[in-house]
Amino acid sequence: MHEQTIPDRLKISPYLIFYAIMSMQIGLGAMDFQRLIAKYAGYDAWISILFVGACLHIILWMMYKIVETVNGDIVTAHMYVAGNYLGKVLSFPFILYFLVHSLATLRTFIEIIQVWIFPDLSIFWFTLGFMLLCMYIVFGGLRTVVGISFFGLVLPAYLLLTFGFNLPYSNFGSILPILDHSVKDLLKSSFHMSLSFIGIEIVLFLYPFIKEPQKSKKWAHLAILTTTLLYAVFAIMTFAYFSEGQLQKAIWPTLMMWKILKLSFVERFEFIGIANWNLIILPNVCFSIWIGSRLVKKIFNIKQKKGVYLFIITHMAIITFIHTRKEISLLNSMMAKIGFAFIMLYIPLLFIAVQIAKKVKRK
Amino acid sequence: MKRLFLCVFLLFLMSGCVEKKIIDDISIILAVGFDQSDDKQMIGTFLTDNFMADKSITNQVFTSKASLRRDLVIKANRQVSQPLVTGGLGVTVIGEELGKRGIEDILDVYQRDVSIGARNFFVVSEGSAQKTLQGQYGTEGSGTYLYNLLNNHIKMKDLPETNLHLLLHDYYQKGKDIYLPRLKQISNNQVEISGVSLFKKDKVVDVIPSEKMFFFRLLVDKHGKGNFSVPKKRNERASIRGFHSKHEFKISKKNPSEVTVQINIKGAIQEYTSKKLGQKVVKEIQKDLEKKVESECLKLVKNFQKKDIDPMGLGAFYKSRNRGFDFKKWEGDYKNLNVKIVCHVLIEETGISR
Repeated sequence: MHEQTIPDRLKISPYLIFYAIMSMQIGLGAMDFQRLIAKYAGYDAWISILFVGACLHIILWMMYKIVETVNGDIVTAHMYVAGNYLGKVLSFPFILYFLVHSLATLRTFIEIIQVWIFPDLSIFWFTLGFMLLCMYIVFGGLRTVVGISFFGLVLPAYLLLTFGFNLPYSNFGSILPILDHSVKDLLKSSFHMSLSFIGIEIVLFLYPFIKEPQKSKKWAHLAILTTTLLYAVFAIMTFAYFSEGQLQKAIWPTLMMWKILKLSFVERFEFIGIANWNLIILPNVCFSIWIGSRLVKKIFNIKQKKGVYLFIITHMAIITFIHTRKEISLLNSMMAKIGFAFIMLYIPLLFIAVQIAKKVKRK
Repeated sequence: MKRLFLCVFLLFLMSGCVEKKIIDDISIILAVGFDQSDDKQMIGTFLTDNFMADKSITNQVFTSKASLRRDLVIKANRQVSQPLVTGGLGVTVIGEELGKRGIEDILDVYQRDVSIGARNFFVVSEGSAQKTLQGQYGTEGSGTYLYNLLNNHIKMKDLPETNLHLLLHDYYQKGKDIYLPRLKQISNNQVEISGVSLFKKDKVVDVIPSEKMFFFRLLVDKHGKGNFSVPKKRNERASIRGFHSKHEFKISKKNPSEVTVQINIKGAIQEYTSKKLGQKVVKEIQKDLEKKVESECLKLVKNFQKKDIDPMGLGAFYKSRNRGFDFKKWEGDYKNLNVKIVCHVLIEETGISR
């Protein structure tokens, strides 16, 4: 098996995987995960977040094992397990996976702009502008995409401070009593938390591009730990701010929390928050396009640039057909289910398959 | 370079893609009033202000009648040259009649509407909301005047903490009932806060007059401050400024249907109408205030139980202390709940006069 070697100048430093994973995780689902998880486990749902976070550490360990064994990305792993042809067939669905991922991310964001700021924003023109920007970034190569993910995480980080304005109106007693729900409810809400945690799978695709990949492990684990704690703290803040009935009424609790914020120069902070959210969305979509087009390149042996064009055209074609809240939430819940199946079920299976294949080959 | 040109080109192209709202070309609604009309319709009153050339501000009021809340705005819009927008809404006045009929539909609009901020104040007016909003208050425009009036009193903790967010929070919270401040129009250019309206679900069922507001606040607000005067003997009166008050609910361990409300007040004497204010007198005043708070608060709580309303959120408190809490059972339990009030007053200062 010939794995094309990637020259050092195209590789990224190991610590950058921290920003790559975190920026990919935060984005989809961060606006409304509180409502979805509280629906099942009530205000105990923060326990579910910690539980999912703990599971993800194991999954991450498995992912590193897989790519270390085959010394390549997921396509190499598939070919290692199932042979050349079948390996490529198995990898094909992941193109669709990343297509749906970036579609869901972008469409949800456009919906927020439409509902909150400009009701008559044209989906087509906005997507076109956004896609041109993404194209520009993706053509810069992975290093540029990772650089954007750094900015996409660090620049909007100040938004966290703005939720401090909610504290005077919060009552942390409302998360009591702890463990008022059954284990079944907690697991249900853990399942619904998966959409917000999607993104760690990029390790499977980026691994060949990491300089000294051994060193990147601790950064990847740190990224998951940070995201988990961030989500858990944020969920507790939301639960303290909203009452249970009220939270279920709010489509985007995160945005609703900004409604209380009033500064002397801006009456309503959501406008600034949503504009900044664009930066959080950007690396998400860029990563999806980059990974998707790389898969196209590896599977069909065509130039990556063509893959990018293909991705963008498909986006433009599909996105204008998704109109209503119902369709968008269907897209999101579909993405959550696929993501859950991929991360929690498929990766352990692949891990076992790779371990078996390794033993067989050694003999 | 080519790409850069393309980007700049698109920038110009796309700036025209969405509807703009320029601040000089819109009328910002500052206050809204809702009243029940005789038939099933509702009367909406919208207050905006006009900035005149001589830098004075005049009030402009539009009224309309419709059965849907949103239609009210649309109909009122037909009377205005510039479109009405709700982004700067600060005060919502509910007419007395409508308060008794229920405000559920209005709360739904406020929950649903994106453009309304969570700091909006809700009040119930004595008489019709329309009349209250038609008054001319202050020099800064009626809308701003009403907003500042409420905002300052909440900051000074005369009024229990309230805004749209807290209202919706309590409304959707099981085991807690809502309450709103009351506004009373005294004359065409005078208005005052005259108490608190208590709701059961979404209907006004009881009123707390302004004299009792101090005690009500001690019960509902976790932290507070405020002024209060205690009569002593016949001619002596002391006015006390409480800087800090705190309450805490405690469920008795032996008997779960017994709850103690522990109220701590720290304060200073501001006015005393007798000759000398010695240590002994201060102690007496403390004792008097404690007794007064305990008896008045207990009266209020007994009244809540009689009317079956729970503005203190005791139901929510019991829920947070018991796993698998049953609200159905609680409804019966609440009336028989044994509430005890224990008040502790500490007078720290007596002003700068001996």
